[in-house]
Amino acid sequence: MRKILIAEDDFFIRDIYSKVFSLSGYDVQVAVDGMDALEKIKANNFELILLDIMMPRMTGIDVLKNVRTTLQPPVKDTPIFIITNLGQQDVIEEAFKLGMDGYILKSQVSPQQIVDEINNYFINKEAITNPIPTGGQTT
Amino acid sequence: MFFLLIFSALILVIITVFIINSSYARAVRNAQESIISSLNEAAIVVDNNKNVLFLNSPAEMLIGISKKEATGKSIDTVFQVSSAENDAPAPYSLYSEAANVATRQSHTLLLRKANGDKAQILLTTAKNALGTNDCVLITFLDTSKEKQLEEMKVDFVSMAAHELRTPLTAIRGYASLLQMHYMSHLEPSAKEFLTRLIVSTTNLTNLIDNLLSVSRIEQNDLTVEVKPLDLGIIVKDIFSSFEQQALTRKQHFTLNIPDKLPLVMADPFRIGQVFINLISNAINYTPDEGTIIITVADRSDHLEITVQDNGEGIPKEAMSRLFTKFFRVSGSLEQGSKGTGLGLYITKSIVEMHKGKISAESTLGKGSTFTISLPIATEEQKAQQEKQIGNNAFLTVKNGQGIIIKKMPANTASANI
Repeated sequence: MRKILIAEDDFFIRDIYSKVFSLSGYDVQVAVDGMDALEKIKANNFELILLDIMMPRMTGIDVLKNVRTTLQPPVKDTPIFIITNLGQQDVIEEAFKLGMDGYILKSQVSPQQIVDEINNYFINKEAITNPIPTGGQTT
Repeated sequence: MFFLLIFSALILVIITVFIINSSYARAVRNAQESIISSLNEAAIVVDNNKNVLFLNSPAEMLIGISKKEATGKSIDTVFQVSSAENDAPAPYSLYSEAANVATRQSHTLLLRKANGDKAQILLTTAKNALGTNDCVLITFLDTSKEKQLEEMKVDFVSMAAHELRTPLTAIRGYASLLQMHYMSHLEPSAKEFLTRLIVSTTNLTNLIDNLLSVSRIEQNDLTVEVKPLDLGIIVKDIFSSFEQQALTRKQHFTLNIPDKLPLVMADPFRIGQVFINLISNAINYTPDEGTIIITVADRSDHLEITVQDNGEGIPKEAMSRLFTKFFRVSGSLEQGSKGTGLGLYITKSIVEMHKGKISAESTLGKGSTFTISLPIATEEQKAQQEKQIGNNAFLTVKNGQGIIIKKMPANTASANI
């Protein structure tokens, strides 16, 4: 079971995401704000982190920055996805520079699509780490 | 003697005519002055030497100068205005075309009052005559309040849309959770209600996103981050994400695209929105079994993308307003319009931010063709961006109803450089 962290300050949205990921077979932990997220990241070994941007005490961007610059491997290199709203282009650019692995527009996708996307992410990652010897990779 | 008589009579006539004339001129001038004085609009009359001849009391009040102080002075010292966009000083010559062309000219300018305050004004100039002198009439209105109201409206829309989005995301989230994982517990009619709930919340989400985009456009806050981009990847991705929808409608949905395309300077996310809007319009407004053809063509200095359908088409009288805000083609659908009237306005704004062009052709009952042209990236632009490409490039993917943005693999982003 893959262990993931979902950091989201809105109660309902946090509840939806954690339910939908649990129902899809993930071991889900939640964080209610950025500080809570950072503490949990330090204390656990997550395979993936989903961060909201606008959170009390610490923004998702600051959590990302902290993980990438202050923590030690392997936690430092945990895949991080930002879940955000439409149009925060400058923030998204910044997050890419800080080493975000992808972002998802929250208003535009259903929770199940987020799960599908994360499933695909893990499938692709495994294909890259353990390439099938016979099949050539196409771009 | 006789001649003297004739001569003095002549003199008398000339003097009389002169007196009558000048008193007539004075009377006309007085009448004109009283008309200008009675205006609610502020007005200044300037002679050919750019000196103030007259100003009414709204002008005195707005500028904060008295008639006595202003009369006879150069207009540029009495009336200090600057550009509303960049605050650059706008001397009289910049807005006084009226003196030559005799047509009304309007400008939005910033007025610097005598006390140093600034007010936005709408200024109109017109060629005129005061008494017997040629002159220019400048009228202006304080539009600061309108500007302020407009800003408040935009702020309000933006704030309301943001606030609506969080609860809406929760509604959609729970509905989709029910749909994905609890469908088997529901009675058939409950399933149907749930589907309708999801469709309606999706429409509402799109409306809110569109409203936010519009308020960003109006606040000049919607920016595009252009970089050399292989449009092919984006168009193909968006095309394939719509294939299922077109298939459900039994529509013939084709994409004609050359294998290799020159790079264009574009914002991958924003330009993706443009194609999503046009393709989803084409699908929505084309009946079942209709045809939709998307073509990308290399026109040497620009790429031309056309989205052509044989759907219901757009009435001639609607064409001129097609790209304006809140405009919807009325009566185009018996079941009512599907859109918000914002999509094409946003589409056009985004295309223009890319220095591109968008146009539409349509015949009612026969279908519509939307054409976009985007300038091809120059060598210089490509070289400038080459270093940044790879890690920062990302790709827009429309996945059913949603957009997911992924990091673009470095090799695809730089494939054509």
